Amino acid sequence: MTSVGSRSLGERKLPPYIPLLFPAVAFMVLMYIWPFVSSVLQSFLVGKGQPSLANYVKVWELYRKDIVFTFGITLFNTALTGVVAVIFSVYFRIRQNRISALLSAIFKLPIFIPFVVVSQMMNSFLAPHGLLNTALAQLGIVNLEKPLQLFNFAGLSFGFAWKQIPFAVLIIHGGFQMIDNSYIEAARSVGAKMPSIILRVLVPMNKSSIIVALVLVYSQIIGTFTLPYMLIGGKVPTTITVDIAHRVNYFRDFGVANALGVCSYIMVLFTAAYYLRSKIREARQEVSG
Amino acid sequence: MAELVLKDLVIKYGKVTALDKLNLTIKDGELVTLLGPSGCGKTTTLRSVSGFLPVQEGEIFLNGKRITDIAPEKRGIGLVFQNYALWPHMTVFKNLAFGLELRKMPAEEIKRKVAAVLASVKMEEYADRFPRQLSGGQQQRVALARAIILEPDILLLDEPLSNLDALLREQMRFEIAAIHSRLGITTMYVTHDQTEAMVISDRIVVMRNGRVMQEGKPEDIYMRPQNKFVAGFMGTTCFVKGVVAQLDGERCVLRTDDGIELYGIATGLNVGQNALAAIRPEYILLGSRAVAGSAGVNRFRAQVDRSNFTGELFDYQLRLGNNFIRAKEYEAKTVYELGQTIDIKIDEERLPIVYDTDSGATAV
Amino acid sequence: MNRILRKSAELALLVLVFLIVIGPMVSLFLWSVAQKWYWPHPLPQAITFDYWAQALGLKTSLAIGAVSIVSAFTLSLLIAAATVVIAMAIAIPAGYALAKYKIPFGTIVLFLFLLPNAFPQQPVFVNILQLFTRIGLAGTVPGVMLIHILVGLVYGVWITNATFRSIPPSMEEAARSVGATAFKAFYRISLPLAAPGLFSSAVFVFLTSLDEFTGTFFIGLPFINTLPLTLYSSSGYNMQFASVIALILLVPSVLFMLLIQKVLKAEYVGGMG
Repeated sequence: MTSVGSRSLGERKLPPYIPLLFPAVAFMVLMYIWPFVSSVLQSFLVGKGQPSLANYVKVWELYRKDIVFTFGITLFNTALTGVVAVIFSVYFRIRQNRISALLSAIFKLPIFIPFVVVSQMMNSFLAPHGLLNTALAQLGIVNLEKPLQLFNFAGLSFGFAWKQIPFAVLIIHGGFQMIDNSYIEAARSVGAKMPSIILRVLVPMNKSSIIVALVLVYSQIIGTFTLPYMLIGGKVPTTITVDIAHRVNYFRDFGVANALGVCSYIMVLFTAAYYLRSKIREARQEVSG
Repeated sequence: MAELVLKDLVIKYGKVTALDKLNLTIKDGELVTLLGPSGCGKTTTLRSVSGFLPVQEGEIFLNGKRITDIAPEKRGIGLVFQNYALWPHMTVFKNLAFGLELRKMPAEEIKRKVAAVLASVKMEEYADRFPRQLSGGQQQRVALARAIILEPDILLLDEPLSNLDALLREQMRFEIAAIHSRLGITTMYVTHDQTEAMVISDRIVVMRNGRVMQEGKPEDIYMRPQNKFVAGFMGTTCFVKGVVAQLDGERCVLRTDDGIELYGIATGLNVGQNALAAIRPEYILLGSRAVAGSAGVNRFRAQVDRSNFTGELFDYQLRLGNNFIRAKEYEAKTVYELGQTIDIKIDEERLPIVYDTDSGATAV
Repeated sequence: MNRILRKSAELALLVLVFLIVIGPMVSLFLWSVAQKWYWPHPLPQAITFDYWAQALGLKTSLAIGAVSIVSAFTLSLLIAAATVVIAMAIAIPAGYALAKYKIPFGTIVLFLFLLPNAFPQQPVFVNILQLFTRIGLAGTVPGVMLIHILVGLVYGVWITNATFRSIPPSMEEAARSVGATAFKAFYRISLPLAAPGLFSSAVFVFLTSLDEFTGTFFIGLPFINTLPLTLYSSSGYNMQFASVIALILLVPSVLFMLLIQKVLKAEYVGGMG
């Protein structure tokens, strides 16, 4: 739906898209760009606005363990999500029976449930006296005296996996759906068995969806506040997002909070660049194609 | 001996029976084409041989071995798809090498084999290209190469030329026929294009609604159709209704209700039966050519009802009694006008007479 | 033999996944009706609907911390409704303009609406808090609404853009050729054709606002209590109550998403929460 904006000959008339775009653009500039830029700038200021690296020094002193923790948990869960999601997506692509249809339907649920609710779910489910421990105790897997302590890396990962794997499957499976059966049959006709077909035909042909899913999962996990806040809260180690909240709520220290924020920006720099580039390329293709 | 035998094959899709006790044999080295309209069961048959479609009843034997429920990757088949199915993320070389790598063949041997096969389909310089850099015809040749590089017992081609434009299709037909005669692999070919079938096949199996309507050499299928369906499917056919008046061995006289007597060739008919004369336009002589013909049978006066010049030939619709028939004339010396009454002669050696019903299934 | 093994492995997988997905939900449900539930009993010893009744304002309970959430729910709904109206009023023209016209700086505009999804949003919220505190919007309803509009606008613009893009230009051109003005062509042709997509976009923005936590946490507390914030604050000391609220939030989200999931692309669907 593209046509050139109308313009009278010789006269300077305002192109029609200007008033249409102005409110949205203005809003974004005021409510997003300005605070975004401010966050970066402020991280380099102290006191009454003197440039300094003091904030970053403080971050290094107080929060470097948490930065490592955040990065670690993000990488781990992105990788875990990627592998599990690919396996499930391949499964859904290859097997189409009642069981896989049911599984596919169950998988949709976590996607629709808001993160706040998920956090509360995990809070109750993973608690030392929560349903998971109770069930495991009934099965004899867990000692009544020593239930699993899950409000840490493990529990957080469970929560992330619970929400992100179905989401990744949605994207990756969509990509697999677009691969025509004939490519799989051609591989079988030259003697390939399932593992070869998955690794050498299906996954390479679906590379773009898999990368998009991983990028989205990665940046979502790094930016998540709700889940770590409810599960781990102030315990050490915790995520950068929780630290930022603490810095603001207890110390009103926006300098260090922003320094932490900039650290998280740096962590997503590559994925953000990839995401922006591919979405813009996609949008450009739609215009010309 | 890579012979394919299908015995009493039954395949159902839910309640619908796609193949009803199909029997078929493809001898070692033969190229047999399954020919028919959409839904006739030709693709179903091919997919059951390839192993991607399970069989409800019956058996499939390849090279003497029973392969009815063996997985596709273990059947020793070469498969060529309508959409080529060349893996887009692999070069031509890799596409061909894939099957060989799975068999743990040493790299040197793979290189040699790939080069040899590419040469046989005339694609040697394209080994390092990606499929998206090739034209449709080139892709199809690579697909063919991929199917034959593993020296399969049988080659299965599923409408491989349907995605190509008309000119390319003609070219590729000859190439496929040439490759087949050179390599001699037992081949099952599926198409709805009868010209294609006639060009490349050793034998044609005409199918309809899951049954074999007629099997035989291309000339036999064309010249001696055994039923109305096959007669109508091949070439441009005009049917004229009548009753069998006389029968002398193969020679038959059909009398229409307006008294016209047509002399032709019939098999399996009896006097008094309702039958159809399958008139092919290329076997009608017009005007002076009609008069020059020897015997007096099948000489009629017909009126020109429609006249079209298509460049290559003149296409006429003629009125013979109460019937309309088509005639085509190449190198027309005379052009016949609308309304003109002309002499015509129908070649009695080339006029099949068939039983007037749709369901005359004659399996050999 | 092989087949039976495979089938039973699949079945085992189904059961395992079912337990993992449903388990946390069951936990929520059980807590919402539990009067007494001590470890290590698999089920609550005593059931009560007290907490539900309390939450829905049907009766007053003696339990610690249980408050009627009706006011929080109403506030959330009102904010969400207002957010949808304003966000869509801004998003629809923008999405239309991006779809219809070849804009010289179009790439930059697109960029603008991609950034919030590419980078973590919390630092931005934190700085908005600073800003709002200075101009007195912190802890106010308009302040919270602005945050919700920010979060929703991104999806609003992208979805409406995609919707309008799917309408062939010939539709409007045909209308212009019989005399309609540009606005009329939009209003009578494009808008109705885009209605399903626009509706889905509105529903999505609504849900995003209803479930929004992080931004509201910084801007709204301690004065503005939307439902998600109430959930958070009660989860510390009253499990039952928190579970009730979580379930109340869960139901509309799942229902609405089931409704519009067919229309939305995968990436947006995952953007929930």
